[in-house]
Amino acid sequence: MKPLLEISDLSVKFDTLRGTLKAVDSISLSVMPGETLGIVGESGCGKSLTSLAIMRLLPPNATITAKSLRFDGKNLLGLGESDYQKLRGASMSMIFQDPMTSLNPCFTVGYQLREVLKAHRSADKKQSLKQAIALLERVGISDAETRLDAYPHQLSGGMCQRVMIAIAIACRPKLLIADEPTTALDVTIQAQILDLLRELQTDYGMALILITHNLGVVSQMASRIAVMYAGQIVETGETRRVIELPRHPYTAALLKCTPDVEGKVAKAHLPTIRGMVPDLVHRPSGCQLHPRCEYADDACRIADPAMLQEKAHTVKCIHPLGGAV
Amino acid sequence: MTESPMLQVSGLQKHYPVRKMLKHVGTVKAVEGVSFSLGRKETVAIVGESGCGKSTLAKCLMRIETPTGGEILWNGKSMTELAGTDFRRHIQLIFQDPYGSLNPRKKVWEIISEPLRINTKMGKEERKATAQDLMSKVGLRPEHGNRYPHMFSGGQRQRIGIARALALRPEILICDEPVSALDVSIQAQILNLLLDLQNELDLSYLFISHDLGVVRHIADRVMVIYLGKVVEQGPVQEIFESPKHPYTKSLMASTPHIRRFEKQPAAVRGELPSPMNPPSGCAFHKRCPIAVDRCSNEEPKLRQIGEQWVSCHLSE
Repeated sequence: MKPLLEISDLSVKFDTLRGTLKAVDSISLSVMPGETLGIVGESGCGKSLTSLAIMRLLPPNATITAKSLRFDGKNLLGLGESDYQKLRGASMSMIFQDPMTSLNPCFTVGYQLREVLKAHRSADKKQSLKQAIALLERVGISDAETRLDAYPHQLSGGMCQRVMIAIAIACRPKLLIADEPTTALDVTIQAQILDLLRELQTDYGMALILITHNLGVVSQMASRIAVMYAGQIVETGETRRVIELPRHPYTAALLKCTPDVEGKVAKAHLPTIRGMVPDLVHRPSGCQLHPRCEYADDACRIADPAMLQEKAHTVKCIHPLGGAV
Repeated sequence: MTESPMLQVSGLQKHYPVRKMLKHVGTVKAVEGVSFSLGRKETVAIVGESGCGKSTLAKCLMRIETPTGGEILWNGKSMTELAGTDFRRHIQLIFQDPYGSLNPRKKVWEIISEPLRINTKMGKEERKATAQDLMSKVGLRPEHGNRYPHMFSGGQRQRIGIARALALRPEILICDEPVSALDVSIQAQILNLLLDLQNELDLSYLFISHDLGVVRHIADRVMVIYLGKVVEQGPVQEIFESPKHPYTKSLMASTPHIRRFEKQPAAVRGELPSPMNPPSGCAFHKRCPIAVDRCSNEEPKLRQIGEQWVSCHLSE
């Protein structure tokens, strides 16, 4: 099977007064049709910018470079703005972290939902109304007909996220990018939204890129996982393998310092990652993690590690945990 | 728990009137009959969904809000009789948002020593020295006291907030979601700092959080709140290993575990009902997976099961 989305050597740069900031640093990844890829990492690691680059929603001061960026057989790099417009919202769409602010407060939910149908499906009023009701029902909003006339402030956070999902799936996209879709929600509502995303995915056969900092969410949702640090992908692999046997020291450290509900030792010190995320304008030499890594030696300070591959598991480290790859 | 707890709260109540065109149309019972105690060096965690009254409870204890009923005893004395300045020496607050809770126009040492300026007669030099002491205590470099908040990262700012809360040498810190705005690696550093400070200064924490992993890690006892009422309360281990109330159970089930790879179906239907007209009987009955007829008519009372207190007709 051919991948739905194939990215190779994608970089996103910003020109700042202090110099060039390389926010995403030559990352490569692919997504198969219908699969769920989880992208994890701390804030500022470039996970959101990666998705915005795929959607071409970056601010004008950003420069995107890539060796290739292919989606559904099309070369996205050569695509003009109006062609991209046709793609966005139709065959690839996105939902954002904060459902309350990503909807326009001045328009009703129904208007915003029908806007997509008008733009991409050139549906007339009657058709779009019917479809909008069906969509709201599909995402689990009861009393859909009256809800169409509601404004976003009249709905709860969980409801707004359901509306966002309805808008995103209105044209049955092949790829849905969910950027921290449940971070602003309570755990009980988070579980409901994750359920809904899974259901829709099986029904529509769409691929899902799930961006989150919550390792628990990734481990139950994603079949594959990509760990990002300082704009680079440092480890990818099948979720279970990466979480049970992480090869990159950063992945291992991240897993260790997350307090888990099943943790037994109460009130003991948690392991931490020393220091802070590097300044992306003045990046460290060699491996980006070396100032914070407990295994770093001289080799790590000099050479940028290559991506090592062992079957489906890749790791960007000179001294991967558990021996040579 | 010690024999005479430092802080004893009984039947605390905070009702807000709701008015429409100046007419009284209803009451929001944000906190309703909450009782608990906090001993020296103890950490009590309060968990619940947003809108359940966690923060209102904290505000009542800090006297930012005046409770409409109930009693708060400080070492056996009623809190309401203590003057504001006396009282704030005992209890201080750490906020959730390290960006919004520091005045951007003030130097860090001024922020940290502001409680001293307001509540003590300390001179400027002495205050500055105290602020620098506090900075090194929370892991900041004292020579950075002349910097402004924007020059610090989120984790460092949270340390500034902690230093400010410690300025008056309080016995109790109320931590309102102190780590939820931080990344996991920074979160771990701040949790470690809170544990160190507790051991060093014999502090007690009232720890408000929605992250059960963090709660499990830091708390001695846990109080689960639903729509302003305590539904379950007990030692951390019991609550996590054998939760009795169906709401606590569903919270646990909804929390994603890192090392559990199966798909976890949602444990609760629906959303938090409006606190303006809560359901009759047990407030949770409409979302409860095991509710029976009795639950919609009769409100359950807190009763003791083992070391836990549970308000459910069906728990055993």
